[in-house]
Amino acid sequence: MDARVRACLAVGAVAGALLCAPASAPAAPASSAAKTKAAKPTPVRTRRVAPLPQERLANLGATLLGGDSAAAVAAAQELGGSGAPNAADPLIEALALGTWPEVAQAAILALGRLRESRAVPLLTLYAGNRNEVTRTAAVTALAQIPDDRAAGALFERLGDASPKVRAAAAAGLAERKDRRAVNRLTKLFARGDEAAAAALGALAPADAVPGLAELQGRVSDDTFVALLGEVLKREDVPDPLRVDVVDLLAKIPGVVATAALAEYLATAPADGRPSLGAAQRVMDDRGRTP
Amino acid sequence: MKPIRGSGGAVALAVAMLAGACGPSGGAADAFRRAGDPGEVGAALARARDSGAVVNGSGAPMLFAAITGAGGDQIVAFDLSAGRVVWRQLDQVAARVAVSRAVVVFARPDGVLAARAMSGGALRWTLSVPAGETTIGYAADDGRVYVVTRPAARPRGCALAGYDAATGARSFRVELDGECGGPAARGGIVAVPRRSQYVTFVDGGSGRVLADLISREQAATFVQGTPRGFFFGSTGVFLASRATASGARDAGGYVAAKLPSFVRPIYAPDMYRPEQAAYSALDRNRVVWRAVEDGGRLAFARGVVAVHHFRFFFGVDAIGGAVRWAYVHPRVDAIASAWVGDALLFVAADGEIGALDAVTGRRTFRASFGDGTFLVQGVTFDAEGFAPRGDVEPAADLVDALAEILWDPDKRFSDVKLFAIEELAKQPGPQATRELLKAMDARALPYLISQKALDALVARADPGALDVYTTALRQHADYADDRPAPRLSVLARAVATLKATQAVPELVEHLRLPDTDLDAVAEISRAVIAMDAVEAVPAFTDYLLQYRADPELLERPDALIAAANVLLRLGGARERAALLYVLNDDKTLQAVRLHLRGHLLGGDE
Repeated sequence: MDARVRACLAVGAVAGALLCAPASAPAAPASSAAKTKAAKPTPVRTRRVAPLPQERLANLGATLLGGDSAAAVAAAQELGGSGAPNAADPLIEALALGTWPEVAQAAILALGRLRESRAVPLLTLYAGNRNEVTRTAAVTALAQIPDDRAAGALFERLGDASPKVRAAAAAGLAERKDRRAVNRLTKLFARGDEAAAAALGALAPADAVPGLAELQGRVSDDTFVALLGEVLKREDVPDPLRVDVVDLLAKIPGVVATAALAEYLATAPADGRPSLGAAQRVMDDRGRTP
Repeated sequence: MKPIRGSGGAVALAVAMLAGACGPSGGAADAFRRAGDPGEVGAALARARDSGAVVNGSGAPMLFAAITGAGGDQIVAFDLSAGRVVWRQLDQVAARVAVSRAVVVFARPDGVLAARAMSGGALRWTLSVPAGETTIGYAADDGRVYVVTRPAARPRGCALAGYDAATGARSFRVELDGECGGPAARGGIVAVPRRSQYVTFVDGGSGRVLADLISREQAATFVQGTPRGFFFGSTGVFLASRATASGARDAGGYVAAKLPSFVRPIYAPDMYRPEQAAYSALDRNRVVWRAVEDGGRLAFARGVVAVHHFRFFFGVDAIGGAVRWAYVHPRVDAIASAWVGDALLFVAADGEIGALDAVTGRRTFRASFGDGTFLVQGVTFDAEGFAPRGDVEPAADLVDALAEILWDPDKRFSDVKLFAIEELAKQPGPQATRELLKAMDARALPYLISQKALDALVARADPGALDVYTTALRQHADYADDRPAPRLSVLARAVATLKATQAVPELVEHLRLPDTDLDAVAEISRAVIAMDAVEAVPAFTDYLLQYRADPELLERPDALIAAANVLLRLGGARERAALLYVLNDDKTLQAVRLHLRGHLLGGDE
């Protein structure tokens, strides 16, 4: 029996509105541009994990709902770490019935680790929670779940007032390689949002990068470097573009630009591409500069 | 503005001292013994000759402007019917220009009165008031110029002197008792306000005091001579007549307009204050009126008064106070205005001249004497009966005009913007609602104005605006799009007032958003309860469960209590079960548990 339905019945349909009907969630934007496409869901590692024994599950569930906050957090963490196919039910129940913020956050993160698609409506609800830490946790969890319904909340939270929440949403969308976020990320980048810059660097079409580079001067150097650093790391951009990016980084003084070049040199395959040589020359010059 | 003082210096043109000037009017008791006698007042007024619509000798409607700029200080004469400058002369105008048939007269900064020929503007004569006297004011009619002064030796009295307008030769000088204000004149009769309560009518040829009118019910701080008679008053307007010889307001000769709250009821400058004899900001911030006899009673022409407030003009229903039209002059202030016939004439600081139809506010005239090198300081109009018939611009839609005022970037006009909000609230239709909604959210507007828009919106209860509300509710705060959250509290109240259940889904959608403040949640709950909107119950159940244990709401549990109330009032068995769970679970905030105990179990809160 579905744990959610069980929770409905067990408590006389308490929280039926939550458990027995999906919470509303914003739709991900339609892919209107020819160049954008829905991201492929992140492949789920299939690993056969045994379900938790019923007694253990019941105990953990009771602890989650109980009056000891620390114990409830620990129970949530155990459930999340178990990977068990039946571990999500008590977490969903706890969130549906409501609990302390710290317990909710632990339950949310656990559901993310479990990549539980059934939790998407609930996590979407908590992605709009007043508590910034709770929202960040919900966004992080949603980003881990290979369900396109999760993307809607991520897009929405790109407009969150909290930079931490926006950063989690941006990182999640970048991780999901969801190019539908490019327009919104571009708006955030133009407003100087550094986390959005990194995500944008990872997602923007290659031919959009020169246009984004023209925003240099409107954003801080660190934000601009965040964008360029991610572009450099991409294997899907042509190397002449990487060379241009190295040239741009070369003109930006300071440790952040140097670190981006260093990271590129450290992580890029040693295939003799011209951009590597260009990056090395810049580093050599920076090393010689007193 | 400094009072105009007698220089005591040489007089540029010898002034002939005429004999026969009347002596003092006697002591205070003698001066006003017969004040208010209807027969005497009526007889005095009947002596005024008809001097035509315009006073100036050209017969054309004219205006005379004092300007200052790169070319120095000048006075400009403009023929309105010909649409051109007739003459301009270098001179310094320190007080209002008075118009006679042969000359225009004005005081210079040193107190000397200068008279310039109506034709060509050449200087005809100058006059210094006698040493030891202070000029209170001056006026002119078709034939003479009249000056009221206060002798230093008689600070509680004054002197009225009349001069031939063409030559400056003195016709008479009469001493009057009591504090005096500046005079007004028309058709050979001079009216002098005295002791704030009297208006003395004097024969303009001989200086003989003809009658005293007494304004028992209201101070008489101004008097004006017009082709339609003499008007006097302070916070209202009397037409001087037999009926108003004692200043009775109920005699049919009195009228006062119902004015917007930001408007000072200044119908004319205070003639007891010499500084108000000069052109000043008072000319740009006043009531512009024209009173006529209508069926034996005094009324404002067309039932309208105009409010001139710097760049803005409003046509206001004189009885009800409703705004009939609004006009916004672009960029620069309108420096002066006057009601001539059915048109409201105005001159802007850059020399543009305009006229507005008094009934519709439509712009009917445009001319200019500006060349970008000067600013207009003040204007005197001699244009009675000027009737431009052009249709320069269509009358602005009132909502559009009020919105233009609201969004005007000039920061001087908070009071007018507040007024614009109030008036917008009275206008039907979705356009007005949209402007109020915009004003609610506008960061560019002062908080007080946004609040006013908010209150006006709720009070409006405009069913035609539901689409506007729904659209506003669909807007969510978004940092990426730089979009603020809508004013949910007021929208909730507005939706509830309209009982617009169609908007409930958009309303309760905000419960799941982090930016929705606790007051808004409470307001939304009240709205859905008022509308019996059971479809809102699931959203409030979500809200209650999600936050029931959140210590951040410990100090402000009202939103949770409000959410619980929705379930209590609109929910069914399932919601009752949920509430019992919330009541019995220790994690729930105490205030919520107490509230629920009281409602579910009948226990004390």
